[in-house]
Amino acid sequence: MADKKYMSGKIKTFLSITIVIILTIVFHFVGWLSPIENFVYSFIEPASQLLYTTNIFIDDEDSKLFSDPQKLKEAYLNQKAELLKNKIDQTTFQLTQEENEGLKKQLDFFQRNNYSAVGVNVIGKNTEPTGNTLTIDRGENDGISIGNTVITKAGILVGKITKVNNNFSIVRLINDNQSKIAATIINQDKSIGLVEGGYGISVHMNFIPQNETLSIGDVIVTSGLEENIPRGLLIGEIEAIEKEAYQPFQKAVISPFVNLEKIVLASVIISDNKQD
Amino acid sequence: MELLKKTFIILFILILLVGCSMLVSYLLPYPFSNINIIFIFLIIFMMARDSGLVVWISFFTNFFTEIYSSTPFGLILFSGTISILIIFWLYKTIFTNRSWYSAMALVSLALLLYRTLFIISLSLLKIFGLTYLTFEKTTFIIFGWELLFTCLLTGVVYFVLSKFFKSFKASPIEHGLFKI
Repeated sequence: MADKKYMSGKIKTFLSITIVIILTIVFHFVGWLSPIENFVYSFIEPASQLLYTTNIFIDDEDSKLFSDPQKLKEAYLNQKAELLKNKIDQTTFQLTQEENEGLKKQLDFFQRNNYSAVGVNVIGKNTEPTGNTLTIDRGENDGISIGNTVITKAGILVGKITKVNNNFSIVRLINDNQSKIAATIINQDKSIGLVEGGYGISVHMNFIPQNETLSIGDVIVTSGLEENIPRGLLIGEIEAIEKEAYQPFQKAVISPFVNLEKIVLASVIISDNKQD
Repeated sequence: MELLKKTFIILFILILLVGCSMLVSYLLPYPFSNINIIFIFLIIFMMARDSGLVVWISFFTNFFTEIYSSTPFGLILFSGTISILIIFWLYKTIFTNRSWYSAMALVSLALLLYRTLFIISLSLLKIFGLTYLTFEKTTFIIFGWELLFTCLLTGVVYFVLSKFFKSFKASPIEHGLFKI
């Protein structure tokens, strides 16, 4: 009797929690949770941005050069001499310059291609290990919608918008395992295939016909065969070719033109005026 | 007044948890970035406080995580909360011993349950055409890393905490089936 009562109590608890979860999911899709979500966003955004910037700073390739103490000493002395010469804050200056250069390139790209775009700041990345995504500080209120293309610098493809909130959005990077982008290789055959990610570790192009000739260094661009993704956006270059005689297709390992772990500024193409 | 104080403490814990989770994901290199700091906290909190509050902390933490995740809304919330609820019951009835190895066993079970529910829910969504996300071999490698490092860190954290706090010392909780 006591066991029966105990079990029915457990079932009641389980059902209550399941109902709360289902209601939360329904309220989210209806939009009733937006104020809470926006409040959480406004709270977490500064911390996320700070951690993301720190991550970029720590992950700097240059810091990996200091494995040898002698090299570290030399670098330190060089830096000291440089610091004496420069009276202005080198870091701030460099960052501003880089940002400016990136924005200029993006602006030039948009003017050349007649795209409408929204400039965005990257404020975070995925915390769940199942995806390789970035969080950007613009959302539905800025005209961004699911499927929009995200680029950086002079038209280098970063990924696609996968989730949109009022004030922020989630970008699925091209190295995410769920990312699939129709692409063309700039070679003699103009080979087409599908660029897919591999859990943030690699980017590769699949379904390239066996008989087509590929070379290391060939540039890969978007094919324009996909909705929302304009033709000719740079993806990367071929780093290695995997060709097996018994397979109908060959595969290329791609080195992206931009370090996807270090993106700070990007643009979201919200409409391609050329196609209108 | 007491309720207000408790609410603030819980809110602070939630924010701290999400912050710690970001810290691990952003700053640690792969595969260490897969450590699930939220589960470590939840299991240790559950063993220290012996309270069902852990289920609600899990609910809100997963809700916060869900906002920033690329998976369909509800997937993490459902899998995370239900797995912690089941683990809480298991802790109350079966795994009643308080030690670093039972903490490791509980966190491993919790993660296995979480990922199993995650895969089942995602598969169901896929069957109904509500998502295009799929699973590949590498997904399971990542889950493996997550399980390994989370489990190891839980053991270490629990062991260290048991040296300083009495509530973490090996003493079976009152109402277990298998009291030691």
